[in-house]
Amino acid sequence: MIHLKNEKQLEIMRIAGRITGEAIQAGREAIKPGVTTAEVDHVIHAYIVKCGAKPTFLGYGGFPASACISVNDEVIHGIPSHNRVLKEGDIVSIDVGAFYRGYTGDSAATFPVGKISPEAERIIRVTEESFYRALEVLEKGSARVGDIGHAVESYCVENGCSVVRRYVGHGVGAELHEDPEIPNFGTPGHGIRIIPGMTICVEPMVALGTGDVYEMPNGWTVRTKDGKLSSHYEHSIAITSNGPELLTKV
Amino acid sequence: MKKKKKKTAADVLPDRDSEYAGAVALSLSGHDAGREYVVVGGASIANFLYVSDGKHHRVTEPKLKNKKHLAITDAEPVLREAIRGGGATDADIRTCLNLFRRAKKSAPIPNNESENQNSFPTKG
Repeated sequence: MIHLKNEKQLEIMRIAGRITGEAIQAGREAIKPGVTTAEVDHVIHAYIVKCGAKPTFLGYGGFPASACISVNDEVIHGIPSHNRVLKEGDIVSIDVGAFYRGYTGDSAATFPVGKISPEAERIIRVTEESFYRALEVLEKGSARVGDIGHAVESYCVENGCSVVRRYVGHGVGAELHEDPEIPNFGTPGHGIRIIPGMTICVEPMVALGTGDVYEMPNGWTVRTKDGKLSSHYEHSIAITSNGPELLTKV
Repeated sequence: MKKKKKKTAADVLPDRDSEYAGAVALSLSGHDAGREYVVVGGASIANFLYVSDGKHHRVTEPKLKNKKHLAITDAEPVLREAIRGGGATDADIRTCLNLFRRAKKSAPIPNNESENQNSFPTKG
């Protein structure tokens, strides 16, 4: 069931969102050739703890790290590792949550490691832009879940990319994953209404290839079946009577 | 002549102890989409709740709604206790909904600056 947040709850979520967004930026600044994904995770963990919050992902369902750090054809849920050394040309998705006074933020972004190929630039740009197309739909008001997904997928397809259909956005609040589910595809005018008080995560997961994915034997990391690059962009959004408010954008 | 006993919420609701009792719920789907109710109890059918607006769906004749078609707020404690005790009236429900609507209208415009911004260390 969907839980609407009141102003007091939203105030806490703004702080959790701010910490989450700043943790992502801390991770971004740590990314460079030669750094391991475990080292990036360490920076993110330290930042969240320094802010008096807890990393939401650490221990969530048994996840062993504070951030999901996914490289190249890894879509989501990459487990940080001392053996995964970033190199020039890689693209790295960082997905982070910070839990503060009972509420959590959730955000993700994909960053280049040094100089990257035009294709890699394209997938990052298209993914981020598809999020903002969805945001435009929310700004118009009276949106439904299907409108959000349609906005994301249609923009991606127009730009020669595919959305990963198996994983979806979601509500967020006291729990990391709340109702409703927010797929990155949909039919306009369909699905439940997005109304003030809702707090949701819109998170396009986009691939250069078909968008078909598989889960690795580690039980977490999701990769594209065709090995093509994938990108991820996400913000927690509070739906207010004055429109959508990005809680995790800093 | 024996007088007909007036039905109360206690008579009609199987589960007044529902964790959602007393919460304002907005209908997200169906012909009543957008309408506000108060949850007055759980139903014996899984995933359904009884809701009332104190007027068209009185507390003694509540409406059955699927949880996935509802968005709820935190329960109002005094009303929750009244519901659990079987004493909540239609007037109580209407008052709760009127207060909810009034609070919605007067909610401050949110901004991105939190007054607690300086309560945790900044970067660098």
